[in-house]
Amino acid sequence: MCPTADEEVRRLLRQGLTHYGFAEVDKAIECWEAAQRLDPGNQAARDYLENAYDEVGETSKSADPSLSQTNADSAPSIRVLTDKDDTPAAEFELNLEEGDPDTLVAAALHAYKNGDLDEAWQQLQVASDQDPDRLDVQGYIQLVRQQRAKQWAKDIGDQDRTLGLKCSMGELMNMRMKPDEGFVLSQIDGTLTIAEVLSLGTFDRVRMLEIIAKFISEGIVE
Amino acid sequence: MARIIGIDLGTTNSCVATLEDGQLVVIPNTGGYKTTPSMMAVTDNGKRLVGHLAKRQAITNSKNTVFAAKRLIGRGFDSAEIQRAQALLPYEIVEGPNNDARVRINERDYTIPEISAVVLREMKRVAEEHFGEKIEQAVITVPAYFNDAQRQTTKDAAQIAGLDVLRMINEPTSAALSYGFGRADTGKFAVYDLGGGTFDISILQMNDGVIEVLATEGDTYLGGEDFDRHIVEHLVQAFWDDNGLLLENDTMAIQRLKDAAEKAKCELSELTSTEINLPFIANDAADQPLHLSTVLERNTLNELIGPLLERTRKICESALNEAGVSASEIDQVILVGGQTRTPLVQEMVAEIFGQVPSKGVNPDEAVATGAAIQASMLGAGEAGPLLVDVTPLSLGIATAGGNFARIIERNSTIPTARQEIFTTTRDNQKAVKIKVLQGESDKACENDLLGEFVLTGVRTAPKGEPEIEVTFDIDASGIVSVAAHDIETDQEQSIQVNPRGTLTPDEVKKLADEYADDDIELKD
Repeated sequence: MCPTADEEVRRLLRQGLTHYGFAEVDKAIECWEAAQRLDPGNQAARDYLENAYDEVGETSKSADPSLSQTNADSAPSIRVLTDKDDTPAAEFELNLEEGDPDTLVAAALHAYKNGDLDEAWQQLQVASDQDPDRLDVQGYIQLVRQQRAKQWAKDIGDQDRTLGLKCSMGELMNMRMKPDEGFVLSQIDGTLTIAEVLSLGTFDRVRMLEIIAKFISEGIVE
Repeated sequence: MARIIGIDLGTTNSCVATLEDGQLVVIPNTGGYKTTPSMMAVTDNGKRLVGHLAKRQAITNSKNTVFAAKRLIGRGFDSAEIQRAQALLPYEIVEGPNNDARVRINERDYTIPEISAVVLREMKRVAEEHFGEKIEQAVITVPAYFNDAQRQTTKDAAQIAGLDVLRMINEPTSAALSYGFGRADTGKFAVYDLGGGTFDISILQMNDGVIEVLATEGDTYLGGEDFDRHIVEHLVQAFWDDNGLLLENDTMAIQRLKDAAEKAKCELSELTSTEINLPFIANDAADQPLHLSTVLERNTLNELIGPLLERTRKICESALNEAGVSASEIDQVILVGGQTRTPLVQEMVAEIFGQVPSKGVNPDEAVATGAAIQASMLGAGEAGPLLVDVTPLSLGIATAGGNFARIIERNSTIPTARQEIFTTTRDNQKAVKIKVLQGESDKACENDLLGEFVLTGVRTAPKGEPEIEVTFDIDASGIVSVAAHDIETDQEQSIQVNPRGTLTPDEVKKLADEYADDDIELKD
């Protein structure tokens, strides 16, 4: 594959991630399939497509033995694409340094595939801090964010129930919370349902879900 | 017989009541509260919130939360009130096609009656849930100083909400009706109404079941919200003193402070001091959590709100003067509005009128229960106290030289109809333009234009000869109709005034149809 094709593969992979992050899975699949046609052995394209096929229910494709799940332990040597990579296509297998954004993205992908959303999130946050302009990282953050929201909503359960504070003010003062958590806590007074608290247009709904799930799991509210 | 409800559509809170088997019942909302914040909000995902839910995020989602829409209702976009509101309110106010003011939220423009309709619809829903039946008729209260445009637009809001307004009555009259329910009081009364956002004082005469408003004055920017704001500023300063951190730009912190301030204010009506604890309100520079923990004394509250209350003293004195009575002639002072529970308010009222004010009515509910009494009487065709309200502003027409000819004087009792004869100013003049105005200035241009129409077919004659009779008619709800009649040719033209700044009948109907099937989030 010539360097120009390599750039096109990278572009398609990132464009696909951006679509994926905004829940445009079909468009994401189109991009990744186009990337795979240009570079049939591209592991990243395979991984992304496997996830996407799973999501849209194309099990026959995702069950393809050639799209085997990568071992998370091998994350640092996974085939990934990077803007800064000037190596010829034939030598695309990278040896990545720990903490390098590409390594972090790869590790995040593996964590995600293994269902460890918190780990994936942390890796991506670090990657984003290191290189805020990487569209693929932002797209992937959106993807993981949505998955985490689904998980928290599941953990919370029935959103039509009301919550009340379970611990005393003294106990609360000994805890460690962020101001947004303090704000959500102030809205939990036994009168509003969880759905109503979530509907308050105060800040990001996903963050609200995270905070409420945390309060429930830590026994702060019930 | 169809049930009729009484609604107090307040600037800050609204309340719905009914008269059941001779008992006044204030209907609680789903959350169990007897009043509902008059607020509407739209969240990022387009969901509409009403009442307490809207209030809970009013500061953190300030651009998309509309409150105090009553201050804007029936006013032209270029009016001084709207210009003032634009400077003070956090949401965006834009000009509509009728020179009306609209609120822009998430790129959609909401008319003011539409916003009031959302609140009225919630009150309707609360009543329907309570009775398990459809409610389609109501008596709605409005401030005594509301002009024709404001009354007309309030009626439009009710129509959009699916309510037929049988009568609009003035708030102080309604409170007096509630006070007089089951009593046979006679004499002069002052209704001191300090609500969440506005202050009104009205002087009334009650005689053998007849209630007459003698005078009314007010301040549309004075109420409990101002008390809260002063407490919040005090708390922000205290937090700065303790932690060196300014909270005023932190919307989440301010929302919590506002909620805490309101709660503390209510508690200080009973207690002499109260604790305010807001854990994890901010983080310091080292990212360590900071808590706000303080005690607010009633004396401190008094110092904070004292200057605000002084403003009500001057307004009371002006109203007494307008009514032509002295404070000592007032037989009873009725307190209305939640803020009158504040001890300092009661002390101030006692000082102004030289007597301890009556606690004969629930200040949060009196206006709504008065409307419920009126609703019950209208529904049953019963005899009851006769309401004699007054028109708050003079009505008349523009005449030659840009003058204002008053036909109905301010504080005239309503319903009323009055006529005056006018003539032409040019020889062979075939038509005359009638400009209907409301206000107190002798110059036509300084008063509010309510509407205009042309009377044609005037007899051809030298100037000053034709006789044109202009009739003003104000119904019991304060809605104005005007007719012009050439006595000699019998030509006549008339209008029910549809003032600038209000919606056309077609627009109201269209909105009513839209909202009839609208699945909005109505929560309290």
